[in-house]
Amino acid sequence: MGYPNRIAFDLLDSADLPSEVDALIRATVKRSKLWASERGEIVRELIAHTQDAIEAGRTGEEIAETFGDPKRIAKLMRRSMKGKRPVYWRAYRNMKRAMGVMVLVLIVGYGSLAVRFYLGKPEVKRNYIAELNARDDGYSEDQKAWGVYQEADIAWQRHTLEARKRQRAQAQEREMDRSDDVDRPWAWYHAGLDRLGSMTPEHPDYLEVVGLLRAFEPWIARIREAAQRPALGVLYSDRSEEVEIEDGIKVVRVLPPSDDPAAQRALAEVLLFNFSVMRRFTYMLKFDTQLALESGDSQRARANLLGQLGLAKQSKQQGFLISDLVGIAILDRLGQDLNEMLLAYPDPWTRDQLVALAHAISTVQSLPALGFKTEAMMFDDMLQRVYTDDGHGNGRLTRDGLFVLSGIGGGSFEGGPEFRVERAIQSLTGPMTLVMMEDRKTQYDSYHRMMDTARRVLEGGPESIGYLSYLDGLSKARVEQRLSSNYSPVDLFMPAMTKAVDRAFQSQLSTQATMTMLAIEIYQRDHGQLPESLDQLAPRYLPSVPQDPFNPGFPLQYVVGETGYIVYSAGADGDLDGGVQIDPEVDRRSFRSLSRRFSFEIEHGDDGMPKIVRDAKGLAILLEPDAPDSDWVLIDMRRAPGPTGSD
Amino acid sequence: MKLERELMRGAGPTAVLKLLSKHEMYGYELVEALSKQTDGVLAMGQSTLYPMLYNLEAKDLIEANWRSAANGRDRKYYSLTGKGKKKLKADMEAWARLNEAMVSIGVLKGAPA
Repeated sequence: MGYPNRIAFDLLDSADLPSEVDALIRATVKRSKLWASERGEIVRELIAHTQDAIEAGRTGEEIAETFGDPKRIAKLMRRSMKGKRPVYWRAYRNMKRAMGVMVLVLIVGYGSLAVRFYLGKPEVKRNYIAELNARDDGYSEDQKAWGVYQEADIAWQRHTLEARKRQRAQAQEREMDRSDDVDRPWAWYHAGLDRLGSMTPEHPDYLEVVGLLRAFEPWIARIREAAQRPALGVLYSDRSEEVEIEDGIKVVRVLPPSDDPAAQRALAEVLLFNFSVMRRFTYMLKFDTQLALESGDSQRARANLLGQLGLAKQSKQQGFLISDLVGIAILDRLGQDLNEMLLAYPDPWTRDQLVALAHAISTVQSLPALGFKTEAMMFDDMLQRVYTDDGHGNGRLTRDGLFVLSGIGGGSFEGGPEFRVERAIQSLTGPMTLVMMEDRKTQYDSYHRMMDTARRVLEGGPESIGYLSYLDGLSKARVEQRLSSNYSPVDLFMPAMTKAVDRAFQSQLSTQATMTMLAIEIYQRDHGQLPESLDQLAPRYLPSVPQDPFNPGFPLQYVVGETGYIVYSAGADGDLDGGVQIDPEVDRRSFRSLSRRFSFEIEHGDDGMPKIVRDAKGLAILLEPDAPDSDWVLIDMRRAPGPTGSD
Repeated sequence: MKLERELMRGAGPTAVLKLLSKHEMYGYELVEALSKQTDGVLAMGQSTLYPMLYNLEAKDLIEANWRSAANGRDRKYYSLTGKGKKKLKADMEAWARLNEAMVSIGVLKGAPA
């Protein structure tokens, strides 16, 4: 006997009714599924009824005969008793029913979505990897640089490995436990030689590294030569493996991609291992340039600079966003190095050599700033792997596609338990993304519209830097409109582009300053003195007077003092502060973010593109006129603390 | 003779309301009254009566309260509410119209003129 019947059965126990009636009432109560108090109420009334009947002379049998079927009575009692229940209970019951209906609708809706989701299959038609590799088809092997770079990379590994063994043996001969010390220079190699740039003669490992590089000079010469070749000639593939070809020497072996694009991985997953090798070589060339200048070998120093420019050019020619950023980084560092070299070693540079260098820089600078085309290829390839194709540019998300997106968006390690759980969750929730995520055409239009804006912003001249916030706003608007999601191709691909545009702007500014510096140096060699203003450089030394993107309508600033000159920009606050950079280190570090913080007031033109709002004098209205009060010194050719008091 | 379930469903509540309009009654009393006064036509057992009473109570047409009777036992007495009185009036009019309609088509015999 359960709790709900306790009250009712206690009443029956004490009522002492004829057994047949008692049994019928108990059976009815048990089946009623009512609240305990309601069962008690019914039993109390049925007891009274039975007792009245007995009093009227009826026997237990007679009463039982007229009682009816307990099952049916229980049902009728339940229905009528529930009608007497309070309003809040009925409201709760109605809510439960409504929820039940909703769940049913959801299940049916989910079911139909699931059918669409699981039955949809992407059709991978275009072989983008093959299209990418076809770009170098017209070049012969000796016009391609990658083979040399690969050999040089292996040679450098072998070179450092042998030297390391030698050093270890020497340490053992001297019975000195210097293994930690011996390992130190090699640690740099594994860190990508990044720290070579900041290594000074005071460093304890300086001599060892110098020795290593000197012994590697024949290979460095080959790298310099290869850097001047017109094509990189690397084979891009979705299949590669790292193999140890000799003891301790590892290379990435590229396996030819499948001819069937459906059997390939996404273009966005192609391993771009070559750029890290190329970046390593620029550090090597930079360090070697320093050594060459110290030993008076200006020819080798210049060849190294041109080699770095060649590497930057080859990198940019690949047209990937990452390769453009590598190219931009090489170019930016080269500008800073050149500034320091011209200051420390002004004499070795003849007029013609400076002109040749300026031409080489301008060739790299004239390449498309960012690889919009290859980026768009990656995106379009992604769409064909993620969505179905209705033949009219539209389609819906597929299960396979969701897995591809998840892989690119940073899913768990393939094959692990977390991966299986992730896949299971994605399979379950996948159909819902059909509702949440935009279809193929909307994604395509959205991405290409943003790319188009990014391209036009980048091509829009110095003032466009103010449009960066607008470009960022496009991504933010997607988030605010809840169009953005972790698995949306647009949102996986586009943020990288807005950051890259920002970076490209900054690079344009610093390269412009480098070109201005070279023009000033050439002018000085022609006239025996520095120009009085930048106006004197155009059109002979520069096509036009360089404009300051942070001070629209005004050129970059140029100040000559007793010890040299500086070239500077108005910087983030957009006003001129006499060439004073409050904290050069801080300002330099925050260079990337400053263009984003600095923005103009913007309105939309008839073509939908943003336009800068100007005041009566034609000057841009700044949104943050009180931003940090400092200029940016882009070129500093002062040999001692200068006239502007920036130190 | 007993009525079919459908007919009982229509007639039963009105009959109960009518009986309660005279004075308050308890369950067994109602069973007896219905059986005797209608010559068994509207006789109903517990299985029909009590669910019907609970329905009428849920609709506020009748109200109930437990009281001790003269013999010392507790009984639940039912009486008509204001709403119940109105309902009874409306039901009686409807039955009268139904009666006339049945007479006019010859199902029932009309009262002698």
